[in-house]
Amino acid sequence: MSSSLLAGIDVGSTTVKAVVVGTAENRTVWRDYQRHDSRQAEVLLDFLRRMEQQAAVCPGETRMFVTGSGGNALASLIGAKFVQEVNAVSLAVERLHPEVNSVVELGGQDAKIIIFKEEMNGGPKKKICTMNDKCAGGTGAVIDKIVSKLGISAEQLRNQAYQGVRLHQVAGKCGVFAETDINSLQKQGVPSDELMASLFDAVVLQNLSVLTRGNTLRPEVLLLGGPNALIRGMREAWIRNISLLWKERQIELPAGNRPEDMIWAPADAVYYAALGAVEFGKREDAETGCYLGTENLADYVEKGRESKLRNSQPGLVESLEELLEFRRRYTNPRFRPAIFRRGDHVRSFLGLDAGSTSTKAVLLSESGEVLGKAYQLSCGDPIQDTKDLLEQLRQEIESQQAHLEILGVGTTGYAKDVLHDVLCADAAIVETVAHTQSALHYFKDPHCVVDVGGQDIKIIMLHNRQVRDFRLNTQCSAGNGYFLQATAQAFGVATEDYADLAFTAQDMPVFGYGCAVFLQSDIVNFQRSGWRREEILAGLAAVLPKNIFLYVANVPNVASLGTRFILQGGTQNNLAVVKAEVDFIRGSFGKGQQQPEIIVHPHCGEAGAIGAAIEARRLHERGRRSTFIGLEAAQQIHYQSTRNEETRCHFCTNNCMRTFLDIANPVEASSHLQACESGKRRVIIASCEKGSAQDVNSLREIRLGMESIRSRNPNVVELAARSVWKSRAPEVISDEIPSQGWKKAVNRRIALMKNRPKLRVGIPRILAMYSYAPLFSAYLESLGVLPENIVYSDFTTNEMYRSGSSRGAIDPCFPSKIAIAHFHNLIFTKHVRKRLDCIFLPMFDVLCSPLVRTRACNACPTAAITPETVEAAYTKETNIFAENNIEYLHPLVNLSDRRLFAQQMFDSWSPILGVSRQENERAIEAGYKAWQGYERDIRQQARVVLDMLERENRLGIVMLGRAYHHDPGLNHGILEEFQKLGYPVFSQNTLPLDEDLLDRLFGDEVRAGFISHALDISDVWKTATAASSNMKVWAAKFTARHPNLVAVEFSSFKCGHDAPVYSVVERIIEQSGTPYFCFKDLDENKPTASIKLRVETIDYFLRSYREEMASEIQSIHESREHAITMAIHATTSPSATTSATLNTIDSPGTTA
Amino acid sequence: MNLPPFQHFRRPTERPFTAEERDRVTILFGGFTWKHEKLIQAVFQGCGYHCQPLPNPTLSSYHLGRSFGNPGQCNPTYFTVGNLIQYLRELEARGLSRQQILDSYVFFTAGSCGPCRFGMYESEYRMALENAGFGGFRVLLFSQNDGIKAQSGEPGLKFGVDLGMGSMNALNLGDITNVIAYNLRPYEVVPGETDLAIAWVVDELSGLLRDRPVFEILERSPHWFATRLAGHKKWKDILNMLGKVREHLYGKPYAESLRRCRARLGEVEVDRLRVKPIVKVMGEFWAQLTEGDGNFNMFSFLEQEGAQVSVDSIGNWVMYLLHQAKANAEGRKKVDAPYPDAAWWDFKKQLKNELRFQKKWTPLTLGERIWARQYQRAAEGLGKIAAPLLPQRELARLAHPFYHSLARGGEGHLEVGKNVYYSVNNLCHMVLALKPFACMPSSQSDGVQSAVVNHFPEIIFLPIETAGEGEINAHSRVQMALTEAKSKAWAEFDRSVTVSRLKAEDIRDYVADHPELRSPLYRVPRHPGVAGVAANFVLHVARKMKNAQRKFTLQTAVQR
Repeated sequence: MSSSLLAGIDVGSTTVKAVVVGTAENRTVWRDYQRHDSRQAEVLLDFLRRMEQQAAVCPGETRMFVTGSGGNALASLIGAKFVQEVNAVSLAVERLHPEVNSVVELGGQDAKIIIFKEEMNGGPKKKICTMNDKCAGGTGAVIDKIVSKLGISAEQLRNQAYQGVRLHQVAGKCGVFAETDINSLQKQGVPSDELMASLFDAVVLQNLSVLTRGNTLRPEVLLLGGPNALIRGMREAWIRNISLLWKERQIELPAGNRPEDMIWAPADAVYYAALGAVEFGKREDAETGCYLGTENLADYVEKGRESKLRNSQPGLVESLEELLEFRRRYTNPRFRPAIFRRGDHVRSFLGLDAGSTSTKAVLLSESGEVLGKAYQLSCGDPIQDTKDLLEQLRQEIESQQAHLEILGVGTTGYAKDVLHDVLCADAAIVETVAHTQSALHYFKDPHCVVDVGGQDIKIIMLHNRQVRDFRLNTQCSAGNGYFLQATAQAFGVATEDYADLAFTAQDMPVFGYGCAVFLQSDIVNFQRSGWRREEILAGLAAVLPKNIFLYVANVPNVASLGTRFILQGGTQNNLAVVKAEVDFIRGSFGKGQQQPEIIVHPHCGEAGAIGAAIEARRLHERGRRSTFIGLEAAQQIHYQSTRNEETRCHFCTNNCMRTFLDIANPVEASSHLQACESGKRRVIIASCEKGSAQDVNSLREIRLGMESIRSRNPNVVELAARSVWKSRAPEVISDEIPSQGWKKAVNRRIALMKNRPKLRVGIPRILAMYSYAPLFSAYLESLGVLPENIVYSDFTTNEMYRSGSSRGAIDPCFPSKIAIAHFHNLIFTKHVRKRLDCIFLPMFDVLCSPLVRTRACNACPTAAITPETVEAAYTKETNIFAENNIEYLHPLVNLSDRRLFAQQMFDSWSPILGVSRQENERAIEAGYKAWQGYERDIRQQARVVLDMLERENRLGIVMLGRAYHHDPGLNHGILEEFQKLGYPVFSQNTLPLDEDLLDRLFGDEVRAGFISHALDISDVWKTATAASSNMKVWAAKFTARHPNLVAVEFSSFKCGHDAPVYSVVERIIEQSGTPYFCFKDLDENKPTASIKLRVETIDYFLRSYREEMASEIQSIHESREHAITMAIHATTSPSATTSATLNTIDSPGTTA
Repeated sequence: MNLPPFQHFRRPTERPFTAEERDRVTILFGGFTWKHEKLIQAVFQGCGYHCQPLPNPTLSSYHLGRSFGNPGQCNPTYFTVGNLIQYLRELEARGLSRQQILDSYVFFTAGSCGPCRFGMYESEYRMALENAGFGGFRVLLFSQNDGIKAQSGEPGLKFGVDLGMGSMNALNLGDITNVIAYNLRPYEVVPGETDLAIAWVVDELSGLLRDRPVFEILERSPHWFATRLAGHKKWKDILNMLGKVREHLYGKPYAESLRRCRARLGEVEVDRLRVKPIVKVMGEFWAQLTEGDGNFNMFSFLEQEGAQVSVDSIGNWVMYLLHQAKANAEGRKKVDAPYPDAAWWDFKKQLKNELRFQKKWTPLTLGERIWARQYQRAAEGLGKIAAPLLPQRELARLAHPFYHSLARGGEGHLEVGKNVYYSVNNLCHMVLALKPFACMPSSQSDGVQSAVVNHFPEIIFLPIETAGEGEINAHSRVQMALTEAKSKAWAEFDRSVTVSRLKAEDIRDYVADHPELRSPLYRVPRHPGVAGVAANFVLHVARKMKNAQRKFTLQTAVQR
């Protein structure tokens, strides 16, 4: 067939692009670009009809080639041939820009990088193509999400600059993390343009560090795809970051060219995939891709879709009756504000909840009834939001000619502290506490409070009205309210209409629960498969309870949580979500079991604000006089937010950015505001206490306070993290340097031995080095390497990661991927300062362990292989080690087999140090001795602290995490936060192993035959093969048995060895009644707000636990006194039973 | 006052599977292809066990597994345990009580002590089963005696010669039939013919493994010898064992059955002139083997997209394990030697050192040889369609500069070794590595591969992370790489046609006139540097045609 037209259509995840090219003149005769709003088939149909009308496209005259992520399923319907999008783009680039060596195409959900590499033998260029995996992090989707959040118009976005705009740290890895960071920055008053520029930076860095797989984008670089083509700032971000990379990697540009000449976006950048599809068509025979017309597609749009759907489940409701009955039971009656008479004096408490996505305010009467409430989607400024809401509430009351008096103010939510300071509120309470108070206020005996907010999911378990336990989502706000809201918005559905639309779905797709980014990918996949928006919305609602109970709470058996569930939080206003939750909870209860009572909080959106108001009421009832500045004064608050270089904190080396809120207080503030200064006040929003200092004097005071807290609450983990790198000054055991020999080998050895004092060895501060550094440093030092010549990389920081991780090709756990950045630090910072001869990072195969009867003592394979991935990263393009004259040593080592280890070290170091076998043996001995010395010292220090806790009957925290979690950059400073709150901190690797202590904790079980030894874990964990997991299980046992310790489990995202022991660790601790908390999925992103929320909640929980413990001990003492009195009365010599009882009571191990 | 003693958490006591239960307990297992599973089932049945493979795990198994397991596991675990729970629920739906299920079924799986978390999954299975309401369901482990051996009395599952060697044969036959299926299907002239033939072959081989007469020395030896031997238990057992081994290695029924299978396979007509890129699929053990949702239905997708899939064999994995054990023994030779510092002239000490080493090394070598021999025998018996097992030492050598060959966990250096081996030897056009999301060794291996592909620029390598979601994205990425591989295959084919100085139509006509060239049993030699089936076939047929032409010219000349 000879066709006069060739059409290329790119059906992407968010847009459809098409070009029609006349074959005779090889010229584009028609083209268009439209967003499809998830209606790919419908928009394609529209395109085709317009192409037929406007460009004379018709069957018999046109050949059609379809590309794009949504094109595959649709191509055959119109007779077109499908071309994979990366191939289409590369064909277009090869024809239009043969000079280009790299292409970056950012799509809605996809990101692609193509690198054209010259072959050494001068053959055709080789293409290296990469495409994002299932995760849509670092794509246009992330930008879309934030744009919609910040309410930026298309025009604004197009002109948004990057160059010259102040940048802040934003995670680009995934939209959820980015959103969390943006939220937090927004609350600190960072303007939208800075937020967007920071986001562009994050997206570019994410792609450079993951999608390039460590390859360098060589000039020229072509920027394609919607975001690159349309947003000025994106292009500028690429130019800046790529040029920095070129500079670092010494990539030379053609003479006379600047980086901005070499990195550019063509005018029709959005059409390249479609043009590539046409190019593909030109190479195909004339029978390929013959256009069939729109009939089949129209039929598919009408009715053909159902047959293609896989992986479906029935909709949220089966029948109309079911829906009506559900609505009857679960629709909260519309709130009617209280009605007042003219002249009424309304005494009330104000509760404010400044959440992540909205701000809520309630007025609570003295008797606890809600008098009025107000809600506002956050505009990013919590103070302005609050002023608006207060005015709204006041209007409500005063419009009835009544007078409003605020007796007390409580704040909660992300911005609780800012509001507390600005309004001089009476209480600022953490959200979990606020929600618990609210549930307890309304319901007699709630068992489980399920709060689903915009950003956070909280599950609070109660027993007899006391909080028994809680769960919060970690850094990932998987599938929460805001996600649902944003998805609905993306589909053009108002949040209020979500449920109505979702209930119309007969079937819905099955989403995999968990990470919101993967849910986002699922949405795209389902759209591609033909699912409609109502079905997708229903499916998303259905997955939420799985996210709540399986992902966040990790409770597969929901029935174990109790029988009265309270659903609260703004998301519960969405009845589709409630229906899914109700079905899920009911489904967990067996037929014979008592059925659950599931109640939607009457003010679910404002439950937190109610809780805050209740706290204010409680304080008032205790006689506290409110410090609130008053409603009028609140309206007159004027403030200026400053966040720039001038506000940067220089009180420590972190140099964090701070926000200053300079508030002009109304002078005529009412008399009870004596607590507040009149005139201008400054509220400083900083990431730590030191940052809140205004001058050196206040800093000194803060420091003194902190020092005092620190010295009373030692952080053993921090001590370990510092002392592990210190030289243990081992005895030098090296051979005497032989006199000149006649053998070449001897002379070589002499030279190497003489060089030992000069040899400089770099060691990255990562992984198992946090345990075993003394072994290796002592080995080297004992052979004559000077301690000052053993150079460690810096401690992990975010800046280090950002500057040094772009060579990585994979995305493993943070402790592993940070290795590349530590090497970067060693090579490009330390080595540049003073030459390094070699870098040493062994591949830890088997570790040591004090435990007995374990099956094996393996190191984690991710950690073990990390030295190999580092080598790959630094040798793939050019050998960076060789270029810098650095020897890279990474022997495989087995630390638990001393003979084998000696052999491995000998093989590795002999060519560098000229070590003899005997010398090696002695050095190994010195190494083990030093390591054991370090272990002994740190455990001794821990024992002193533990004894202090026992004496003072206080609580300490055991961090159940690996040795590398001692790294402050990896544990995100969470342990320090606990220390500041008054809890000494230990870790699984630093717990004391003194016999008397172990006997006290485990002796009875050993004697009863449950275990063979205090260090035996076979009673709880059968498959004890991984060294650190085994240790974690043992430390959990230790913590469970010690009355003064509670457990906080740390685990990194993608930690394969931790995952299998999650439940066993939890069971061990919780069965003993010991509090257990966790920070799982730790990654490079530091979710400050989420960490703060969790730490504060844990602190609240531990305070009540300590009170309970104190009262329990008090009652035990009373019982003991009573028993003694009784015994004295009964007989002069106490019976054996009484004696045993007294002994039991005396033992601290049993009091908990 | 007496305080009740506090009960700390302890793991539940495991219930043993005893010999006395054998007749009424069904052993459930899974995780292989249906071919392997059917053959293994036959072996177990032949040894007197009730045995049932689980259905192929689907996406719903995965979702179920996730809801009952710990978060953050790799997806083979979720698929496997979800599949088991789904099956047990089906049993329940059929009317069995939970107690009946606990009493009548056990799950048999592989275990490990290696550094990969796979070694810990036994506990994970038990926990997920408990969460799903099947607490106390028995999980038996292959590699670990405690799981199989009853805590008291005779174990329910006993590894004798028949079960052990039968399983070896079943795995080998499963491997070979699997490879044959993927080698023939893309070229079959009648669609579906390969699957029919493979189904027939697997049925035939299952029958062989199930109904094979069990060797018993007392039954096979003359009466006079049998009566004497009956009284000597030790000798009887030794001779019985040797007889069984011989039967498994050289048994006649085995050879006859293979011949029948070969004949059936020979009936499938193939068209080798179809140009298809060969895609070597490798990666994590389960992800590269499963045929379904567990790897995004990758095999069928690749075939549908016009590729020939080169699947991996379980045999290669077994050989890897044996090789690693040998390599470790070699690495420890000096360390374990009783006289590490023996001088070279001190033969006595050297001999003792060597004996210590050989004690470890020889049985492993023997195991390797037996396995390889049986594989080879079966491959030849089934028409030499399947490729031989991979040379493990060579793989380790190729991988070592990038990935330490003694590093343990998961596939170790295998992925890197295979990538280099297949590419530099031109055995495929593209390498596709399937790795479960967050698989530790496989992810690290992928990190290393980024350097490998830079050092061997001719490699088309694509890693795909498999999970429960993201199938369409994964398929799209495969299409991306496959387009390159197709170009490579076509370029190679065009080169072959050019070199042969013939037209493709001439070759096609010649093949039409020679039916033997359309038989799958016809052996086409591989030409150096040529990977594709069609390209090799063209070169071979061209040579044949030229030879025939030369012969014809010669004959004509002679006749003149």
